[in-house]
Amino acid sequence: MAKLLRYLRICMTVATLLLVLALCLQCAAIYMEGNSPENLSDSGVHLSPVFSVETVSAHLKALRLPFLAYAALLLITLCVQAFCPPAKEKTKLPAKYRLHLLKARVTGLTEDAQREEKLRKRIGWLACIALLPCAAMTLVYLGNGEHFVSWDLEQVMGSLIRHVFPYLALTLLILVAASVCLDRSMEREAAALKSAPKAASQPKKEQKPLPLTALRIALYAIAAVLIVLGVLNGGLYDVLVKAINICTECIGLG
Amino acid sequence: MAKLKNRLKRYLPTQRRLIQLYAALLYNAHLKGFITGNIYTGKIKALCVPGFNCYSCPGAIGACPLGALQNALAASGNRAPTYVLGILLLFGLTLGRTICGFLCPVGLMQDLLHKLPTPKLSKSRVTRVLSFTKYALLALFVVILPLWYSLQSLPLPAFCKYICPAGTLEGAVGLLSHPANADKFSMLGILFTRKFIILLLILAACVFIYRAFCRFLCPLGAIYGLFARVAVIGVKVDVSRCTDCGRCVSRCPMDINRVGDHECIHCGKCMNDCPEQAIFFQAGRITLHSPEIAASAPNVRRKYRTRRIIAWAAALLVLLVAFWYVNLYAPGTQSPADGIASPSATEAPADDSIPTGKEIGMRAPDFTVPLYGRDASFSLSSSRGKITIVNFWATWCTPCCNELPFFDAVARQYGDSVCVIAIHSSLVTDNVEGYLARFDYLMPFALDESGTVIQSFGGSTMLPQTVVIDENGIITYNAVGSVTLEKLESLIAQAAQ
Repeated sequence: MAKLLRYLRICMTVATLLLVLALCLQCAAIYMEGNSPENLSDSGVHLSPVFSVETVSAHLKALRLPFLAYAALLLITLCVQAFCPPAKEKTKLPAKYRLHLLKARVTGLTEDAQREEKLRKRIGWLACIALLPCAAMTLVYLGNGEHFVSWDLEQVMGSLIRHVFPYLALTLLILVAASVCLDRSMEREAAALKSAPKAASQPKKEQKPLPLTALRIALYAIAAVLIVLGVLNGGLYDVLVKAINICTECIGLG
Repeated sequence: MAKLKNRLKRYLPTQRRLIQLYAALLYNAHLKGFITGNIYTGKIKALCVPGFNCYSCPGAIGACPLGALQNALAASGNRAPTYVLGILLLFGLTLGRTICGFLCPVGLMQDLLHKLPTPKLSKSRVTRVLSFTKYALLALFVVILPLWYSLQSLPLPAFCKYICPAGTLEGAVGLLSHPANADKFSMLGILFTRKFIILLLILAACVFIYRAFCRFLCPLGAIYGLFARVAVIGVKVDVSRCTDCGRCVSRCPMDINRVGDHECIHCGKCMNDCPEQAIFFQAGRITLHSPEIAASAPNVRRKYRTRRIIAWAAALLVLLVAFWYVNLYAPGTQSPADGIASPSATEAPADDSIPTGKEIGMRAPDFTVPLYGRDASFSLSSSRGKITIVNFWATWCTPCCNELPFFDAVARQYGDSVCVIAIHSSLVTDNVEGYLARFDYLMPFALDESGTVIQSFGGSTMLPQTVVIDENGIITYNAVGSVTLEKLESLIAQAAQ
């Protein structure tokens, strides 16, 4: 039964991905058909609307069978799942947390552990140095007001994506790589600390608590003042006007 | 039998799920909207709800805090966005990310999608890094772009326009799925295609990754996360009991470093995982729930059960009152100019057999509106003999402001042969004359003081709207949605035929 459930879950994964892909493709197909040269006048104006109830329902009709098949597969998987005992959750403590716990239980760091700590510092610095050009390029682009002057927002956004997203992706890659290296180093340090002499359990250090009550009262007072000011300066009416009218572009209608 | 009972128990909704459902229902109590295909326009919509819920959803009875924040920042050239900031501070301080765990309809949707029986991707260092993306989105799309474009007099709620899946699902799809809005399909284009694909990708990600949108993309979660240390209500840890075993962190599907940090949505799952029973749900100093209560003496349990029943009864009463108020009682919002005698729409003289109305092929209803910056008014009847383009707009509407230059270009290009008039909505939030003074528009601008002109052309809550009327006063085009210069030229050519 468990094996069957595993296979069914894999089928569900494939089916979900295929269904989403099919929906994306149908949506793109409607758009492409609407923008085909046959539907455009000489001045580039659409002869008939890109989307219409008829075109959308025709494209959705093509997905009727896959939808039914998906629903049937889902039902079968749920039924099988109901008769299978729940799988035990695999839990693994993050390396950072494990290391923190281990450090609290040993008398001192071993040589290997100290080496790993130095290595992690170096990795951290290297990552920071590698991130600097990305941050600089992004800030240079965002800081240049010329890039955000045009009211042609499609062009502004397109340019933003072309110029900023590669650096954001690179930043992400660097962070992931650094994180992987740091994690591995922590794993090695944790392994090294296992052989270190154990210390007697120490009482927990008392942390100085935040003056929460005073802070909360102050923040509530600020919130109240801001709300009252907002009601008086017309901010409340602004929210109402936006909420009771539909900005067609803001919800993606166009 | 007991085995079956236990198995069935697994499928019963938890208290958290019931609260999520309740919140989703309360935020969308305008059930009439789903039947009529219109949004709620009552005055209580000025209040923000704590969770992520698009205010263009036909059922929504409150404003989305993120949409309100973007619009407030976009209008910050006129007034400081104190109301929305105050509301966010109030929600964040009281509930923090408990809102994400209990009171967010998008969170509920993600939780339900994750229930689909597929293999799941658990948290890792990659997801931990990705969880910071939401802060970048908050900074760029919610703060920087709206603020920057507000300096250029263009209101731009960038997150709503380019990313927000709640807007696409609840607003766009919610409205389009009603037959009464079938004509709105004609305005769909690249924006909808792109946003719909983004929505599908986010929904697909939520099937495999627990709360993918909440963890990686939601700027509202990022805002509430800033209040993690000071929020009054939420999951708290008794440090004196905690043995640092780390079970809570390792079992949590969110990218937390410790219970109650900026990534914790206070779902409370860890309360049952803690072997020391050191985690409990608190509101200030009052313990709302803890595993100890379940194991306590019967009279203590009874006391908590009674409290819970009273709380649910009160909550259901609130829901029923909300249903009654927004569906049966509440009148719609009236414009500030209501009650003032207005020139407004008047019937055209019935000089032929063509009926007067809003549809294409009908005679356009006559109206007279006061002009901005001139001590005069504009009457549609005075433009008879010319092609007339009527544009309904507002300073707070992004696409409206964006397309004004096209109408002005038409006015300059066609001169006296085409009459162009831009009529501002009756809902005025800014100094319209001050706004117009920043531009060199040639065409006349007027005010629809009581909202009756747009109503006579079939409009109500959607902007922008463009109406083209031929030389004989017959409507040749009447649609909601943005237009381009090319489109306007083609509409003029069509009207001239």
